[in-house]
Parts: sequence; structure tokens; C-alpha cells
Amino acid sequence: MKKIVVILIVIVMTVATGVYAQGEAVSKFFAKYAADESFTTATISSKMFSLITNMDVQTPEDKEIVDAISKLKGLKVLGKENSSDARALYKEAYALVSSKEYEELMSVRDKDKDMKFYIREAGGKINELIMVMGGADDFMLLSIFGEIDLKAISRIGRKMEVNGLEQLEKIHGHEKKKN
Amino acid sequence: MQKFITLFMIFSVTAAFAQSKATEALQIKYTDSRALFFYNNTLRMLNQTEDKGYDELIKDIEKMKFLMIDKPAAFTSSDYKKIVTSYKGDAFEGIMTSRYQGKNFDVFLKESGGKTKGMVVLVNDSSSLYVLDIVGSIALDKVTSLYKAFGETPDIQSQIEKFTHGHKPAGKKDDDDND
Repeated sequence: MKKIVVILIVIVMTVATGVYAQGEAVSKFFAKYAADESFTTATISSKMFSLITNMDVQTPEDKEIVDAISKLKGLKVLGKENSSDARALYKEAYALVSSKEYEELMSVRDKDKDMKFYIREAGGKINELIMVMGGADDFMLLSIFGEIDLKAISRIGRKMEVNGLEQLEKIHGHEKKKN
Repeated sequence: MQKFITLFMIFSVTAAFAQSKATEALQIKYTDSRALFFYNNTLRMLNQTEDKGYDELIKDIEKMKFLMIDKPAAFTSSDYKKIVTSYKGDAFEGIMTSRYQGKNFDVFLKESGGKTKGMVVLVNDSSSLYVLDIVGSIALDKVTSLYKAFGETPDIQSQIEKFTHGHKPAGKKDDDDND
């Protein structure tokens, strides 16, 4: 009986960890290019997010943002500017995320840039948000994982001036939109 | 018995307040580095105008070392990666890493029993490496304020300059550098 309980606990913990982890395909993409010095990278762990939530907040909007941040488990960004292979990188990343693992949420064309948003859900909650952006010279792949509130992420993106994330404000529920 | 108590007290103080070995190793390796070292009471002493914001900033810092290293021409990204590895070997966990156009900004945290015991911020730019090694804790939203306080607050800056009498070669201990 004790052995069964231990096995059940291990299974539950493994599933719980897997639910809030980054998708496998995207992880491999990040791992492939993270060591390449020509790429811009940023990684934020859940520990950093939990420390951010200790900040003093002034407004209800800021409190909402901090509450949303407290539920995040990680953030990764991979990008390249002024690059002749931006389009090729975009196609490679797009091929990885447009798989059964992810559901397309929205696609946006803004001047010469294409942006696509994907989500991964489990148990009715969004546990990963992917943004893939490709232009003539620039490429970016952003992955946010944890328990995700799209509206709050959009506000965070606007405050932090992360190009593209403000587009999430156009989402109502999980409907797919094309601009 | 008295000898035992003395040794025990010395060991306890050392264990509680030890600065990072990786930081000390950097200071020894880069003998031309500039080092500023402060205990909490020294940090408070710098606040001659009794700026309450500054006191709030430093209240949980037990001691702090700020190292400014002019990188030799042979310093490469591999050298920086080795430094990062050395901090991880000192039980620091990377909570935020970023790289942009060859520059790095990394934050590391050391915890014990769920409490923050130390924090290291590394800033690596084209010509210099800056190390902020804090024993204790500081709210992450205050780290940039700390850099600004030392760099831009005229009163605190002049106090630092008087205190350190200008450029102090590494390896030469301050009166307060009692690790």
C-alpha cells in the first residue's frame, strides 16, 4: 500500500512538472542556438519571478500584473537582429511550433514582420505561450510558461516594451484571429 | 575550553558572513581590479543626508563587495562562462541571464532554508566586468537603484571616494575586509 502511494505521488509530481515545463520542440530550438554568440538571449527562472512578486506595487493594475507574474514558471527569449538568415530561422521555428503540441492563437502581419502566437493547454489552462516573429532582418522566439493570463501578459509586454506581446490584447477567449 | 569557544565563534562568524569564493578568486586573479567593500554599518555611514530610500535599499544587506575589472584583451566569452560556472559551484543559482550584442547581465541567488543568503550580479560589457556580491538580500527592483546610488548620488559618491582614497589595488585589504 505504501509503495502504491509513493508511486502515485511520483507520477503526480512528474505530471505537474511536465505541465508547467517548456515544450520539447521549443526547448530543443533554444538549446540549439543559445550558445551562439550572435543571438540575443534572455532567461528568467521561476525564482526570479517569485522575487519580483515581493516588490511594492502602487496601482491595482500593477498588482494584477504582479499576481500574473507570480504564476509564471519561466521565460526564454532568443533573437537575432540585422541578420540575413532571419527568415530561415523564422521558418525553422515555425515548423517546430506548428505541430500537434501547440495550438495557433493568432497571426499578425505588421509591415514586413510576421508574428504568430501559439499556446499549449492542459486542464483548461494555458501553460505555455509562444511568440514567433520573423522579418526581413530580425527574428525572435519567445516562450513563457507557467499558469498564463493572456491579458496580463499583454500588459506586461506593453510596460516592458516587448514588441509583439501587446497584440495579445486583441484576443478574446481562445478564438483564432487573423489580422 | 576558552580556545574551543573562540574557535567556534570565529567559525560561526565566517560561515554566516563568508563572501563568495568566486568573487575572492576574481579579485586575486585580476590584481588591477578596483574593489569596494562595505559592511551594513559602513553603507549606512555613507548616507550623510539620511536619505530614507537609501536606508530602505540597504537594510537587509549584511555586507557587499563591488568589483570593477578592466578586462584584458585576451578575455573571451569562454572566460566569462568559467566565471559563471564558478559561481554555480559556490551554490549560486542563476535566476536571470541575458546576453545582448556580446554583453551579459546575470543575476545569481544563494538560498538556505528558504531564505536569501546572497546575491551576485554580473555585468559584462565590451571592456569591463562588474561584480556586485551581496551577503544578505536586496529587493531585485532595487538593484539598479543601488548601482545608481553609488554612481550618481553626489553625496554618496563623494563619501565612497573619500573612504577608498581613489583606486585601491586588489589584494590589498581594507580595514573592513575581514573575510
